[in-house]
Amino acid sequence: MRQISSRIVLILGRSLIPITALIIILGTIWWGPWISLLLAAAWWFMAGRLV
Amino acid sequence: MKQSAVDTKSRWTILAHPEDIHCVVFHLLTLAAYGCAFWLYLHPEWIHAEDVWSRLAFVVAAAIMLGWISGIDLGVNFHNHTHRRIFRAEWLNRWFGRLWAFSSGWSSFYWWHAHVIVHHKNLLGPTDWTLPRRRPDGSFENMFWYCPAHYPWRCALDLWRDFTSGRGQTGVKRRAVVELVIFLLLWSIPFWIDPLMALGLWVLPQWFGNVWNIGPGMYVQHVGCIPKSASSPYSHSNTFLSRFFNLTTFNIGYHIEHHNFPGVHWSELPFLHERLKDELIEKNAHVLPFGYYRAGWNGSMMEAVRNNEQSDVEFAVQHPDYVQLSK
Repeated sequence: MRQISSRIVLILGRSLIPITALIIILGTIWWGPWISLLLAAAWWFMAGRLV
Repeated sequence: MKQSAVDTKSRWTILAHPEDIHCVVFHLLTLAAYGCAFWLYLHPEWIHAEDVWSRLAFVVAAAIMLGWISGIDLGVNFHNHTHRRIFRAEWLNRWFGRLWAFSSGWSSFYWWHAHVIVHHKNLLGPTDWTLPRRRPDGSFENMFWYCPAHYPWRCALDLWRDFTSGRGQTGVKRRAVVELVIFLLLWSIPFWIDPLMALGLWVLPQWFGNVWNIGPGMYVQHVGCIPKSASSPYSHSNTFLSRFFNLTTFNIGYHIEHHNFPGVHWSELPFLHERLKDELIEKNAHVLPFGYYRAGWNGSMMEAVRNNEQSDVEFAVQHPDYVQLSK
């Protein structure tokens, strides 16, 4: 059970960036396009400084 | 009895390596993200974007994120597949590959040619056109010129030259034509649905991914480096050790190791790195404590100054665990 859950966590970790992209794109339904644009720009800005 | 159970299991396993499930999941999520963006563009009432400016804001936001994941999906994820096929069946490898690279604006065969035939076989040599051009002093051209010039302009011209001259293998010209037709059929699908949507949520993200994600990656992987030699066996590439970066990019940061042993599976590169650690320190390998993004946007951190010996080098930034203690 522990092995399966750690494998799922690893799959989610490795796919973190496409999952984030999906959240920002689909999240537009709730918060609208301007917040999505802000989040995408913040993502770009943070990645360039931290990773 | 135990042996036959293993045989039965392997017969039903379609993946060549169990860790390759991550590659499949990543690509399917990328396609799903494109699908969701297309759907929302075609139904603007769902995202409160009935006016032009709101719609444009959505397109730019989605293009940045789609471009980012397309860059990783091609430049890292599909990249691994060009070295070690992820499926056991060859037809599945070929077709999954075609349905993989097209969403990043490439024919799978063209990208394989550029990466394996051109880049890996001639690393830092005069015929490796995938890398930045060099100034008279041997240094790379500016990254902000290289990235937009390389894709799609230089790539298209160099691929044309390679295929018309038959570089790489016999029958490459015919194969290039067949693969181009297959690519164009697949790649044009969004244009059949809505040409404006295709420009904003298909061409733009692919341009962004190739130019501002893969481009800086290609640049920092080899900037300040020299061709492999007996005295400098690890100076052809730079290795990046950010754990978050390597977790989310299939260990592409272990680039010295990857070029020396391209057949090693991406999931095993951290172990290979540990085994080579002492030798990397001894041979002055350039090992950095962060990932490509920070390196790309802060170019001064990638500077390497070499003396006439070439192997005696001063790096602007070096991981503290990889500094020669005897120096």
